Order: sequence, then structure tokens, then C-alpha cells
Amino acid sequence: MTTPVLAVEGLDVEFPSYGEAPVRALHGLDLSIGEQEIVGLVGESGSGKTTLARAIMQLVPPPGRISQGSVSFEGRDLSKLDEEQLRTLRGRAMSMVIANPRSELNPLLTVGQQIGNILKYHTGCKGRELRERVIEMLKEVRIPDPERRYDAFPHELSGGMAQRVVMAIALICNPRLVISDDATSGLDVTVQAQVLELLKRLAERHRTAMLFITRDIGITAHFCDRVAIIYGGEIMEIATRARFFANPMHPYSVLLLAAFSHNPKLRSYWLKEGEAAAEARPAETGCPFAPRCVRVREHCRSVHPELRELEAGHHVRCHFPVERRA
Amino acid sequence: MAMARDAGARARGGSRRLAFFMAVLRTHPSFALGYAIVLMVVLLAIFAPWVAPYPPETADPVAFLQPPGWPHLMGTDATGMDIFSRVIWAPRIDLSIAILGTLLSALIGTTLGALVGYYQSVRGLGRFGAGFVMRSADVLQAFPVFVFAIALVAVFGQSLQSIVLAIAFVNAPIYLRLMRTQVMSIRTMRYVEAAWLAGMPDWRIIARHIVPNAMAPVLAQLSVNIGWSVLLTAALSFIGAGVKAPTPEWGSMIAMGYQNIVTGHWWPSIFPGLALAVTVFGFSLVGSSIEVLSDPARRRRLAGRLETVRGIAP
Repeated sequence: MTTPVLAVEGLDVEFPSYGEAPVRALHGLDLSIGEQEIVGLVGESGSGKTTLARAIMQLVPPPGRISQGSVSFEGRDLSKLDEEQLRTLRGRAMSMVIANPRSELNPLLTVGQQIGNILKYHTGCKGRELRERVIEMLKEVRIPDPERRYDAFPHELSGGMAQRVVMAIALICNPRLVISDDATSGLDVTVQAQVLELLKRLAERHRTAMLFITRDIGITAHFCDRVAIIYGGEIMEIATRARFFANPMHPYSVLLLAAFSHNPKLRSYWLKEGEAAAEARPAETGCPFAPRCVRVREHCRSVHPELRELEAGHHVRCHFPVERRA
Repeated sequence: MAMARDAGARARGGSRRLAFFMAVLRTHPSFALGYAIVLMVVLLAIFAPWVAPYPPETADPVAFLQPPGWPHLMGTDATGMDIFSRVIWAPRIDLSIAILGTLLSALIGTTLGALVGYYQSVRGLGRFGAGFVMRSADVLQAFPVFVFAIALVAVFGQSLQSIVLAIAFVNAPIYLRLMRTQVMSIRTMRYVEAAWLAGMPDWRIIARHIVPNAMAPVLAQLSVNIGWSVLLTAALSFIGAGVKAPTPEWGSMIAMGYQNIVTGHWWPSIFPGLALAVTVFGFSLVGSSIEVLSDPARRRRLAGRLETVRGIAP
């Protein structure tokens, strides 16, 4: 197998918690993304999604730090690079799209300037060529009337258009990896569908691999090659899309899917945890999901489960995986 | 709604914004007055050699202490110099010192303020440096402004440069604090984070994304501050620590004339005093108009009012 674009191995990220044991935001996380692969990462708030994205970029917000494990990008261990080398990677070889596009744009610079700045900084391209490439990019993200929008300010854009501009910024340097962190959460459902479609097409066209972070498991169903479920800073289940949706094995995955289900029986069984349980924090010992699991047993509370490959390419971190109903 | 209106304004270009500005001046006579005063003072300073009827530093020993009238509009002082001409020449010195000093203080203050605001949450050197700068500013501001300015002039020696430096030093902490608080809030904005994630180096983020977004209150402060600095320059000259006679300068003119007031010769002091007061007043009016116009929320409210009143919107 060729070197994956991104390989995260045994990654631990800690945040010191004054006087107490540090909080582990990520714990022994493994994840690899191959050439042009789109991996969906699904988890709820606080599960470590964004921390992972930041850790990949080597920009864990201080005082957090990577305490163990490694992130390799195209075979290069990022922790061995200095800040200067990392800066040439960020925005150029790997870029990030974050949520809430309008606030992600500087209100005082035009769309063209903001996209152009990145290109200029990373490639030294300027003048007419710069303008042409930016307009080309605006066309690619389907912004109507790109010549005129080039000189538009962010407050003149609709939410969907601002999101496209942000995508243009992320893609202008032809990155090898795009990390999309909850990028569509602020948009209307219809606009969201358009933006996702576009993002997928652009990823194909630019031969970009993508880590697609979301809290909406539904999005991953028609978008990602593989789906990973994260809870409490650990991967709970990871499988190709087809296998995952055909046969979700982790109780948490099933819970997420059941939450969308119209089958009242299914819902009431999996969602009976109630509100109090939904606020429970991931357990420190044993299975992190144990406090919320409807199928929890004594064993789960004391022994930490390993990620096991139960089918080809289908890994699950559960002692008692859910079995497919006939 | 408001967003759409702004967008429309931008599309319709600068003439529309000028119309809005003129409408604001019409509905706010105090702002119009401020701009008129400042414009007049600046024009007089530039064209003094052509406007003033007499040379400002030449005394006519025969015509001393002439009352206001003809040919000496504001009379003459005890040495026989024409007060009207000197009042017109004075802003050349006063304004130059005040503007230079204020710009210098803004430059020092905003640069340091931007750095402190950006780096103060970084451990080690950043936090130490920020603490050092802020405590130094505390020390500077602990002194009464005027006393501190006198002390600085005393240290640097009495010259135009040292008055400029004194003004710069005295005012720099204002800009430092202003910029620091601005930068502290702007650095948490998503677009700053995005620039960071796109691999931009710090200096570029500060120069492109943070400082431009932090400048509005600094600009408002500048105008008010120029007014204060004119006052400070005049005050220094009044007590003899600033510009020396016979150079035409409002403060020193007041100082030269005030002994004559007891004998009923009020004009050598009153006219330069009035000019000084009016100038400072003008700059502070301009400052408050900038404050209103640079705050998007207040501007929008103003625009809404104008629109309902007379159908003018930005």
C-alpha cells in the first residue's frame, strides 16, 4: 500500500487541569486517510473532533499539548518539523474549512483579496495572474458573476456564498488534504446539500483527500468513503460507508442512527438513556461510553475495550458489539 | 435588512456615501461646525503668509498697545506687533506640533498596543513583555499630564522637538490601552483563527487582519487628541517651557499679554485665547463625529433616522 496522505498514530492530546490530572481530549487515536479518500468523522460536542483537527495541523490551542503519538503527513512526521516548515504546509498542502463562514472572513478585505492573499503568500503568484487564478477559483466554487464578486466585501455575501468563498480559500493552493470542521452546520438544509455536493466534486477534481468532521451522521451517508465515530476522544467504530450503514456494531453508532429513525420501538430502546445520561461524561476507566450505554454490563465498567477488526475493514471498540438482526 | 442596505450603499459607490456624510452634517450642525472650524484653522495655517496683513514678528515700536480697530484688526501688543497677523500665524506652530506629537504617540501607542494585545496570552516572554509595557504605561499615567510634560521638556531641553516628544510620551498610553483592548477582542475572531490555520505568520496576521479592524476608535481619538495637544503646547508655552517669543504661538501670546490686562489692555491675551479655545472645541467636535460615524451600529441608527426623515440613506 502507498503511503497514506495522513496517518495519525496513538495520538494523545492533554489539557492541563490545574492541580488535577490533565484532561485527555484525545486518547490513543489512530486514523489514516488515503489518497483522495473522504473520511467522515462523527461525534458530538466535546468528543474531540475539533481537537483532532487542530492536532493534525499541529496547532492545539495552548495550554493543550500533544503528549503522545504522532501525526504523519505524506510520510513526514509533523512533530519533527519546525514552525517555518509547518507554516508552508498549512494552508497550502493541508487546509481547513471551519464553521460559520461569515465570521471567518475579515470584514475589511474584499473576497478577491482574501483568497489572493493565501495564494500570494504560499506561491508568490501576483498581479494579473493572481487575479485570474482567484476568479477561476470563484468560478469553480460556483459563485455567480465572479468578476464582480472579486471586489465584494464579506457582508455583501449570503451565508452559502460566504461558505463557498471559504472553500475557495481552502482549495486555492491545491492542497493534498482538506479538513472540514463542521463546515456546513450554519447553513440552511438546502444550501447545505449544494455546498456538500460542490465540496465532493471539488475534492475529486483537485484529487484532494478530506477529513470531514461533522455532528450530523446523515451527511456522511452519501458523502464519505469511510465513516469514523468518535466518543470521548477515542474512535469507537470505523468502517467503509457501505459496511457501516449496513451493519453498525457499536452501541453509540446505533444510538446516533436510531436518533434519526422513525421507528418508535428502535428509538425508545436506544434512546431510553434520558437526559441525565446524555450529560454524563465519558468514563475514565473501562469503556468511555459505558455510562450512557443501554447494553452496559459489569465488564464494560472495568475493562477498557480495544479497537477490534470484526469484519474486513470494520473496526469496533466494544466488548459486546451489536449483532445484525436477521 | 440592514445588511442589504449596506450592500446597496457599497454598490452605488462613493457619491452615495458623500451624500450620507453631507446629510449627517446638515442634521448635526455641531459636527458641521467642528469640520468648519478645523478646516478654517488648517487653511489659515497654510495660507498665513498671504492672509496676514503684517509680518508676525516685526514690531512697530510706535504703534504699541493699539486697541482693536483699523489698520490693526485685533490691536497691537506691548511691543507693537500686529495681533491679528500673529493669531493667524500661530496655528502653523501649534498645529504642526500637536499633529506631529499626536501622530507620533499614536504610532508608538498603537504598535505597542497591538503587540501587547496579541502576545500577552503567550506564556513566558510574551506575558512578561506585556506586563512590563502595561506597568510602564501605568507609571507614565500616574503623573499629571502637564507636570509630566514640563518635566520631559526640562530633560530634553527647550526646543520644538522636545515639545513634540513630550506630547508623544504623554499621549502614547492612551493609544496603547485603546489598541490593546481592541486587539484582545479581535484576536479571538474566527477570521484571525482562519488566517492562523492557513499558515500565515504572526506579523502578517497583525498587519492585515487585526490592526485594520482595530483602527476606528483610534481615528476618533486622534482628532480629539490633536485638540488637547494644541492646548498642551499652548500651556507649555504659557509658562515659558514651550515655544519662545517672538515666535507667534497662542500660549506665549497669552503670556506676553496678560500683564496688560490689569491696565485695561485686554486684547493681547483675549484674541489668542479665543482662537485657542475655538480650535480645541472644533477638534473635539470632529472627534465625536468620527466616533459616531465609525460605530456601525450608531451609523445604522442614524441612517435609519435620516431615511425616515428625509429619504436619505447611506
